[in-house]
Amino acid sequence: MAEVHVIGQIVGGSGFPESSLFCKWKVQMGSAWRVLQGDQEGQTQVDDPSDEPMANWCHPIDLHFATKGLQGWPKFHLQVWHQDAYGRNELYSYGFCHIPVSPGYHELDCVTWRPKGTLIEELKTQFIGGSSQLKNPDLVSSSAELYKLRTVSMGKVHLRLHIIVRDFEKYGVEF
Amino acid sequence: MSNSVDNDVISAIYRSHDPINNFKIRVKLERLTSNALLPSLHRLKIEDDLSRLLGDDGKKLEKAKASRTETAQALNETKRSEYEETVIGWQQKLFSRFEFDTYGKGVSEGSTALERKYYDDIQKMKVNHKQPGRIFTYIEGDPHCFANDLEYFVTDSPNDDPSQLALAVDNIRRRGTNRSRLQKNNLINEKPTPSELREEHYATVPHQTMYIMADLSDRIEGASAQLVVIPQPPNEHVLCTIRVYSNGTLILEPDFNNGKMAYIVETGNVNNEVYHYYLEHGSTPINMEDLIKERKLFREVCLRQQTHLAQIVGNEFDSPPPAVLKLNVFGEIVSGKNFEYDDIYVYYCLDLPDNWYAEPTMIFSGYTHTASATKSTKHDDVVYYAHPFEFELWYKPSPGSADHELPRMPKIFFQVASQDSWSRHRTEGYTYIDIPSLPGFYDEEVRCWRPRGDSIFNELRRFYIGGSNELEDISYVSIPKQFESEKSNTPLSRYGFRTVTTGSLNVRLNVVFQSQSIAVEHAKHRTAYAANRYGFDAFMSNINSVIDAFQQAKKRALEVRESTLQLLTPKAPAFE
Repeated sequence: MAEVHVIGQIVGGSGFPESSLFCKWKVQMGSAWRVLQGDQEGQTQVDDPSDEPMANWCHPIDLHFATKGLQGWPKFHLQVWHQDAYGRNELYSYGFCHIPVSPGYHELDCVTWRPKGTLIEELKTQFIGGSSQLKNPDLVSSSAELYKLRTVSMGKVHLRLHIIVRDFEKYGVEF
Repeated sequence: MSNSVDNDVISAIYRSHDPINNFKIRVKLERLTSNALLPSLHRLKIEDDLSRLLGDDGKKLEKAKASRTETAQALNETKRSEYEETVIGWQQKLFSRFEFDTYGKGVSEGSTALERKYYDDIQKMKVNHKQPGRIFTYIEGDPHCFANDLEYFVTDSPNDDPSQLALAVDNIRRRGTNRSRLQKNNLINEKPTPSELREEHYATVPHQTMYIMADLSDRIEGASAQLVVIPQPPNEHVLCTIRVYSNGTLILEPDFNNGKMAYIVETGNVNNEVYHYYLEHGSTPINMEDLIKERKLFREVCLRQQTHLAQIVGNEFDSPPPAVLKLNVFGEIVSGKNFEYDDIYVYYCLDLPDNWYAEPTMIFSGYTHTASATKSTKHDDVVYYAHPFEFELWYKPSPGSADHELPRMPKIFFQVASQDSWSRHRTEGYTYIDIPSLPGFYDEEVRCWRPRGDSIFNELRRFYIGGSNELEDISYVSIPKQFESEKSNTPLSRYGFRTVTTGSLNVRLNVVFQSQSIAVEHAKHRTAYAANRYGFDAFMSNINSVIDAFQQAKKRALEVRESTLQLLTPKAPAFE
């Protein structure tokens, strides 16, 4: 079995309408993969920058996988939430990103979107916030069913990841 | 390491994981007199060493004997000239004369627990007729410790004031064990106590201190002590400061000096006397058996952890069949930029050239969601997709192909289309991307174009009611399928095909190759490297030449045998 280490951080998010944000993240992978060490999911703190356009989380990611095959390489599922001045939480957007395959240092921007409603619903979102949510959040990575959605693009989540692989050359894998 | 002549009164740092209660230090204190007839301990020590060195010489031996009597004499003298030796354990309280008198006076209502305990100890000492000596200690919690401000002043300026940092760091006395798990709630402490403020904000480990002191005030001998009560300010000097941290660090200031020069301390009295002292490490060492057992235990624990992890990981891995290359592509359509209309989606499909195989259950094409532009970019119209796709393909060269012929890599075609709120459907662009022939991570931006048609009516129709010219065969975007199958010598000509440049797509690809021959090469490289290092090549070539010579000799011998056989075999008689 080969092993993969993913060490890095979710740096922050930018390009969203409001900046008081937090991020829920989850790592999804195929059945051939197993997490040996590290948290597979988590939630960052709420960052409320006063004048900067980017919310900074610097949330650490430290994962150790063991795998039997290349299928189902791990991916990130992200949800960016907004907390307003009254303490209400609303879901801003969903995001998805493959964990890079080649070992080394990667700076990635994971883009996010949210489901778009009818005109009335969009007006409502403008005034009181809160858009419709996906019935199943895992739809984000199921490429066969996404065509049913209409979406609005939101902001980006910035990731910095170091990938370390082990024992893949023994099985003839080249990155 | 250090010069034995030098007297470095600096701190030494020791590290140990053994429990600190086993620590013992031996202190030898002696007053230095100027009387040369009574040899000092130091001089005796030097003579002792010399006599050991020169022990073979018979003449010197006699002198050594003489010096032994001198030693005894000197020791007797030293008893009088105030030689003192004690072995002190960690946080062991020895009383000074002053403390003996103060604490021994009695217990009152307002005495603290410490005072009561000291009083009891002193009573026990009185019972055993023990008197306090010159060497005493201050341990954790002794009130006089702070009164003498032993900890804070490092310079000799009379106005030395410890800073906030010094006060805080020195006063950290953490009692409980470290909280290893974070609390889930109540992360914010609204009203921290001053000690909590100190503990959480200063980066030191909890520590304990102990001082070994010498009481160098004048002694009043005998019975006169009872009669005359002259109040004397206690003349105390620090001999040694021992600080122990909870992570096993031990800081000793000054360091042990057995075998080196003695440390000298002068009293500030009228008759300025000089004392010198030695510090020795007096803990009982661990014996070899226990040490070996401990090391074995540690090694076993580490080994067990390693094997456990290796067991979980295991040894299996999916491998493709031999002589077949497996290609995995993990990619995503990230975003689209600067298309003419909003609410656009992307149709993608994978095109497989010859000799590429895939499982029938694999999905080769798909549609993204219909996305509307983000408001975060000011100058560009950007739509975000973050749409994943994953392909697993096998390449097997055809039987008639040349050796090491490079494979034709598959292509992914993209068609961008828009559908607005009035259901007008328009084509926004076509593009394609080659799957790269080297594995790795790729972040590509591909530009798109759309067909325009010859007359203006196409554009008008596209604008007003939607519907535009679409490609019948999406492979026209790269090299058309029809063209390929013709195999004629005419060049590909797209003359007359009008297009309009539209936006661009950002696509990320992760390309991974896997094959058994790569594994074999990897293994080969490693052994070849090792062989070269040991010069096995020369060895092998020698063997080869020997084998060659042997083969030659064998061949010649066989030839000779053949020829002799031919000579000896009777030929058919000429006459029948």
